[in-house]
Amino acid sequence: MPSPTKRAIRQRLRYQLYRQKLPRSDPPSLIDMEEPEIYQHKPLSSARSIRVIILKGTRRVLFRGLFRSLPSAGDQQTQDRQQPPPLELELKEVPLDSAQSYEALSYTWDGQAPDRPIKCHGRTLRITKNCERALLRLRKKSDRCLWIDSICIDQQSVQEKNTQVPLMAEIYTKCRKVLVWLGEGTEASDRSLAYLEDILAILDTDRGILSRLSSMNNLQSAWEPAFVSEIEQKTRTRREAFRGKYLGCLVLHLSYNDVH
Amino acid sequence: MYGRAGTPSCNMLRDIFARSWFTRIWTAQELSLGTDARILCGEYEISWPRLQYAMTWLAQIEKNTTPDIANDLQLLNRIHVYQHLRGIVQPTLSPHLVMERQKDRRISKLLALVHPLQSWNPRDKIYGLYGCFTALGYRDLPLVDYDRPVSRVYSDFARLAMPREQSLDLLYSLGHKPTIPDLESWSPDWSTCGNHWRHGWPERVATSKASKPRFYFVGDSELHAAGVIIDTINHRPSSNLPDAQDLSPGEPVHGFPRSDDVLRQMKQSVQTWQEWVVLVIQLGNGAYPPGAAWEAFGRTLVQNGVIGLLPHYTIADDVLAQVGTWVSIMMSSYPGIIDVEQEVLDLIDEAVKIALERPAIQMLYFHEGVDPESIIATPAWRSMIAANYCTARDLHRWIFKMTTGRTFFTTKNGYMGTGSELAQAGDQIALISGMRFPMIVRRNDGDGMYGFVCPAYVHGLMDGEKWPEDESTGVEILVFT
Repeated sequence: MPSPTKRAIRQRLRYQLYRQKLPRSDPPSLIDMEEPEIYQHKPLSSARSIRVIILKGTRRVLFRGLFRSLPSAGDQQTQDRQQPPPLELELKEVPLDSAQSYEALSYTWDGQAPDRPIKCHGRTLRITKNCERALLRLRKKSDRCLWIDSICIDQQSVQEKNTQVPLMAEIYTKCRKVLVWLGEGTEASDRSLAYLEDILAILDTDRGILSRLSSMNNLQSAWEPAFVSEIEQKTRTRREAFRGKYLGCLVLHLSYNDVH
Repeated sequence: MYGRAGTPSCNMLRDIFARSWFTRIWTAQELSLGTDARILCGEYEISWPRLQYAMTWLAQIEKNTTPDIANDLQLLNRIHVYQHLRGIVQPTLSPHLVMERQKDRRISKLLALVHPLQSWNPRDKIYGLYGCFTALGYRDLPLVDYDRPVSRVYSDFARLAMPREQSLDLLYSLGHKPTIPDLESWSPDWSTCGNHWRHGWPERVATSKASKPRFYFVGDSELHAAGVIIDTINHRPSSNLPDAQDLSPGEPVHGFPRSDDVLRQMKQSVQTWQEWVVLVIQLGNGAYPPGAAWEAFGRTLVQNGVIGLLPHYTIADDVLAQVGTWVSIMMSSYPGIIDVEQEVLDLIDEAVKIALERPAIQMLYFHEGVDPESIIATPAWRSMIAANYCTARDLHRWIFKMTTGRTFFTTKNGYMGTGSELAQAGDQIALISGMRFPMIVRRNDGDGMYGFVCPAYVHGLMDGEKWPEDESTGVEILVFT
């Protein structure tokens, strides 16, 4: 059975791995080195058109980055390899009624100023930090087709907002998936999501034990030796690994209740 | 990460559900419209129905294991709004609830549900839901126009929604402190993000009996509605209850509120409740049968025990019978009004003793550098802690929940009631045809027209006792601006 400390260590490792994937400082200043040319949205040709984002996958960007970093010094090269390649995207106008498949992002602006430069059609587009983090998380090896309000709607044009906002119902209804970006993971969020996953794993295999747990009117009885050994027996016949998870679940309830 | 007592704290789950995503109007619509929704947080990914499933279990477990903790799963309230909206907009996702959701597929219900959510642009409280309205079958909505004044956006929408819905139910969302200037009194101010009265307007209440809504709009600003003025507010206390403590929007919540803030709020609550009790004593029996004043008081505070929209949301009579104890506990530090029996004083001492053994209490109040003796000796602290841990705790928790953001009042005809904090002495109580709750209205100076203030609960009127037998003579057309 994994002890709580081992569990905590595992969580921490997972979290650290995740942190490593994020850029430590500002994103690489590819754009700043060249003359920054601000991207201007092209006006939409019809009132029922939308723009979709083609988020460039890492594979191609890496390939380009490799060529760029070839002549530079060794130090520079290792730094480049640790940093994720810069975000790059293109905007494509499509009729809303077309069969274009895309995923729609749902996130909050949090009043952040759009100050993060990314590359759009080779020019500079500024987006908020939260949006940048979401794009980094969503980027795969291959290209990905997305719809994000702050990028796909020209925020400078009130006229365009007035026509695009009524379309949002259809945009979100027709998308393949709504991706909810809650923000970066923290140790606390990782741990609670891991617990939720555990609970779901238990529910998927054996709902009985949780319903018994939920019908107990105090947690003392959950710690009675008979109940604990029953959990252990049951889980041994099913899967050894679940034992820890049941108990982890119990620990969660205890700790969750203790604080109030 | 770890709470002060060394246990993993509930901040763990808070870190997810206190995120700003759960507070925005746009995200509510976005989630409700998509057929397949996935939650991403850090590197984790989980589908929305699975998240909901797991949280329901957690809620069930907590509810059964610690029924005395009236925290009522604050975290879950947030998911609940999103899940409920999703169910209203896409009823086919949960077939077993289709019938129940059918009556919720209305603009007034939907707007009341998302009222606590926020938007940067106040117009988005309407525009941000256009997708949901369309999904509910409402066509020809006003054109989206971000240059139009907010007050026009709100009142245009109310004028369109009420006749289409054939009801005045939107008026139940009135009563928040106004922030938008020049807004008609019959148009709710959606920018306020109000979250009091989240227990809904029970459908078993029928102040105007089975009357049908009768109203029409004249010009841009006048609402003519059939109704009758029946009473006037005589007194209301000078102080209000402290604002609702909710998860603060935006930043994840870490740690606990400062103990001096909590103490200050406790003092304010106890003082306000004491003023309410004094009002009841001044009223005497009022319109109620002899000896029934205290019972009426208890029932007024918890809306006669009828709390939510579903028939089983009622408070048991034995809980309501705790009102005597509750009043004594609150008045224990207010000498000269009520003779508090020795029994009650013993009860308070005992409850405080129990409370001091709870780790949560230790964590919340006795920080380093705080003198525990001075806190324990505070009368307001003793009253609140005692109410939370003694035999009257069930009633106390309901009173706490149901009176947040509201005030108590007594009327000229001897009734007791509660309404939003905006209600003032001199305001009148009107029964409006087709509305289940009485409305508090204020007469404009000079022109004989009225303005709406807020909906109210007035004990003794809620089953249509004062609704005229003969509607053709007893009901007049009132003009609201």
